[in-house]
Amino acid sequence: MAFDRRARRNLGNLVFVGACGLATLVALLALSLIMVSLVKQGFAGLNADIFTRATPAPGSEGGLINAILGSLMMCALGMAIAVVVGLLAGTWLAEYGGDTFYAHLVRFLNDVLLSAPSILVGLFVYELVVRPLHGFSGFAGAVALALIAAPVVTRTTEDILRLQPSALREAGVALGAARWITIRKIIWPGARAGLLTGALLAFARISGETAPLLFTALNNQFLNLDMRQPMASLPAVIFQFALSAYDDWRSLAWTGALLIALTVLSVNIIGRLIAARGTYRP
Amino acid sequence: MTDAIALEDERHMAEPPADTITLRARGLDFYYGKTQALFGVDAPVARNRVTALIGPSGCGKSTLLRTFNRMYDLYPGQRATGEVTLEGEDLLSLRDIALLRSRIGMVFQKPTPFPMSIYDNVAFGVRLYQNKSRRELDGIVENALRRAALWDEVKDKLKASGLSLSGGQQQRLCVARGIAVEPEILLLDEPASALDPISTAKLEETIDQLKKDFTIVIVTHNLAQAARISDYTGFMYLGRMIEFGPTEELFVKPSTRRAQDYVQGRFG
Amino acid sequence: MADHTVKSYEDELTALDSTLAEMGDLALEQVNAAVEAISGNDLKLARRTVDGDARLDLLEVRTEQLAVRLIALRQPLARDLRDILAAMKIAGNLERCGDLAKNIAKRALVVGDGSPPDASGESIRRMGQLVAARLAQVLAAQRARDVDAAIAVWRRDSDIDELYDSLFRELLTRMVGDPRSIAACAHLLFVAKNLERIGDHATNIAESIHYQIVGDPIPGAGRPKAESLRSPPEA
Repeated sequence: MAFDRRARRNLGNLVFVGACGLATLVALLALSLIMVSLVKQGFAGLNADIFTRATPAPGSEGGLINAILGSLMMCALGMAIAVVVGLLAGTWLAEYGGDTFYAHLVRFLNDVLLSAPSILVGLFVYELVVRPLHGFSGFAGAVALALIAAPVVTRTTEDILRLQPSALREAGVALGAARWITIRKIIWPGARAGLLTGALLAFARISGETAPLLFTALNNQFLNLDMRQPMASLPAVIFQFALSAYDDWRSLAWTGALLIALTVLSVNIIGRLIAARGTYRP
Repeated sequence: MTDAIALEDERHMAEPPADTITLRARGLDFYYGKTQALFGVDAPVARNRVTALIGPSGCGKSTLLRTFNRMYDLYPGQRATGEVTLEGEDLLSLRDIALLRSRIGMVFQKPTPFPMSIYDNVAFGVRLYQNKSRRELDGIVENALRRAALWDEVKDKLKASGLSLSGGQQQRLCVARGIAVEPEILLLDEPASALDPISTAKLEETIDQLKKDFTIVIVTHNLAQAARISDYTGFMYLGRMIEFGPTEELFVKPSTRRAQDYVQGRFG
Repeated sequence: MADHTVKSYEDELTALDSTLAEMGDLALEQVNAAVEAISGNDLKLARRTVDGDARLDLLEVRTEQLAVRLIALRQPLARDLRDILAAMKIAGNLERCGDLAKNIAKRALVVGDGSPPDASGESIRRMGQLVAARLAQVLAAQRARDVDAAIAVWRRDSDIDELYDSLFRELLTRMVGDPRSIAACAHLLFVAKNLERIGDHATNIAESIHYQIVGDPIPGAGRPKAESLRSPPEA
C-alpha cells in the first residue's frame, strides 16, 4: 500500500517537473527565435551610416541618427520628469501616507496608470499638450513617456522604501533628525540600489513605447534637436519603415529593432548588477 | 508568622533620593489605538545611574522606554497621557521634539548602522545641530569611539562603511553614535540580545564606564544582565510598574510576590 | 508559591532540603547519644556515637556540593538564593554539633569505667537534655519555616549559658573538695563547654532561618548572653 502511494507520488512529481520544463523550453524557444531573427536581420544593416545619417527617402542611403537621438532625448526628459515625480510620490506613500484613505486612493490610481494602455496615454497628451500648443513636439512625446514611466518609479520606490527596516528610521529620528532629513540622508542612500533598479526598469519600459509617441512627437524625417518640433524616435521609425514596401527601409527597421533590443537588454543587465550589490543589509 | 511572610501583593516603590532623580514618569498611560498598554506607570530614573526595566514579554518595558524620547510620535494612533519630565521639564507636551531627542540617545535591539562611513555614522548626530570644524569633529568622533570601546578596532578604517563591521562592532558603533552628541540620557532597548557572549561582555563593560557621564535606562529580558549592570531595577507586569528599587534588593529580597516569582523563574 | 518553571530546578532544591533534614535528624541523634553515654557511663553507646560522626561529615560535603551546583548552574535569586545560603550555613553548624557530640563521646570513653553515674553525671544529663531540646526546637522551626519559633529559640539562648555557669561552679567545688576527682571533673568541664557550644550553634541556626525567610539579620546587635562567668570562683 505504502509503496503504491510512493510510486504515485514520484510519478506525479515527474509529470509536474516535466510540464514545467516543457513550458520553460517553449518560452526560451520563442525568445531565442526573436533574438536570432533580430540579430540576423538587423545586424546586416549595422554600419557607420546608422549613427551618422538621418532617415532617407525610399531608395536613397541613410541612417537612424535622428531616430536614435530623438529617442534618447525624449526618454531622458521623460525619465527626468518621471523620476522626480515618482521618487517623491513613492517616498510620500511609504513614509507619510501609510495607511490613510488618501494614500490608498493614490496607490490604487497609480496601479491603474501602471497598466493603462499606452495609446490612451498618447491620446490624453495629444488633447492636453498637442492641440493647445498647435503642434506635435518632442516635448509632448517626453510628457507622454513620463506619464508611463512615473507610475513604475512610484511603485518601485514605495516598495523598496518599505523594505528598509523601521529601526533605521527610528535610529535617525532618535538622534534628533527631522523626518525629511532622515529620509534624505539615511533611507534614500540605503535604498540606492533598489531605487536605481526601479528607474532602470522604467527606462527599459519606455524605450520601446510606440503608440504614445505617434500622437505626440509624431515623426521627423530630418535630424531635429528642437523639442518644440516633431521628433523622430526609433519605435516610430520602425513602425513607419517595417510596413513599407521598400527593402532598404525594411532593413533599417530591423536594425532599429535590434538597437532597441540591445538597449533594453543591457539596461536590464546593468540593473541586475547594481541590485546584486545589494540594498541596505545590516 | 510562618513561611507565607507577607509579601506585598500590589506594588512597592523604593525610589532613589529625590534630588538625584533626573527623568521621571508619573501616572503614565499609553495607548496603541484603542488598546491600553501602560497603566499609571511611575518610573524614577536617577542621574548617572543605570536603571534597568525587566519583566515578561509584553509587560510594557519597551513601550515605557520609547515614551521617554517620544518615539511613538512616528506612528499615528499611538499616544501617551500623564507626565514625563526631564529635569522638571514636561516632555509629553513639548513641541520641538527633534531638539529633545538630541538630548536623549537611543540604541536599539538590532544594530542599525547608517549606510555611510564609520566616521559619518558617528558624526551624523553632531552635524545635525552643531557647527564644528573638521578638527573638532575628528576629536569628537575619536572620543565617542574610544568610550564605546571601538576606537582601536576601527581607527585605521574610519572611511569604511559602517555595514562592514561585525554585529558586536556595529552595536558599539551605534553606541558611539548615540553618545557623540553628549546626550543627558541614554536609552538602551535590549542592546545585547543580538550579540554573542564576548560582545555582550564588552558592551556591559562599556555601559559600566559610561555610567560616570550619562544617565542610562536599559530594557532587558536577561535577568542576570540586569543584576550585573544596573543600580536600580523596575519590574513591570501587564503594563504596570510592580516593584522598583535598588537592584540588590529586588534580586535578593524582593518585596512583592510577583517580582519574587518572576526573578526566581516561578512564573506560572 | 508556584513551582519553578523548570522542574529539575525544583527537584534539586527538594534534594537539598531532604539532605539537610537528614543531617538534622542525625545530629540530634548524635547529641542525645553522646549525652547519654557520658552521663550514664555507657561505653558501648560512646563507641557507636564516635563511629556515627563519619556519616554526618559525609552529609555536609554532599549538602555543599548540592548548594554549589545550584548556585553555579541555576543562578538562584531572591528567596531561592537565601534558601541555599542558609542551607549551607546550617549544614556547617550541624556538622560542628556532630563533632562536639563525638568529642563528648570520646571523653566518655576516657572517663567512663563502667561505674554507675553520680551527681555530676546527672547535672550533665540535665544540661545535655536542655541543649538537645533546644536543637530539636530549632530544627523543627527550620522544617516548618517558622520564623517566630526560630526567634523564640534565639531569645532563650541565655538559659543554657546560665546552666553552664552553675555546672562550672558545681564541678569546681567538687574538684576543690575531692582532689581525686580532678581528672574526671576536668573532662566533665570540657563536656559542659561542648554542650554550651552546641547551644550556640542552635542559636546560629535560628539566625540563619530568620535571614532565609525575612531577608535581613535578626534585629538587635549581638546576642543575649548571661553574665559571663570569667572571674575566678570564690574560694
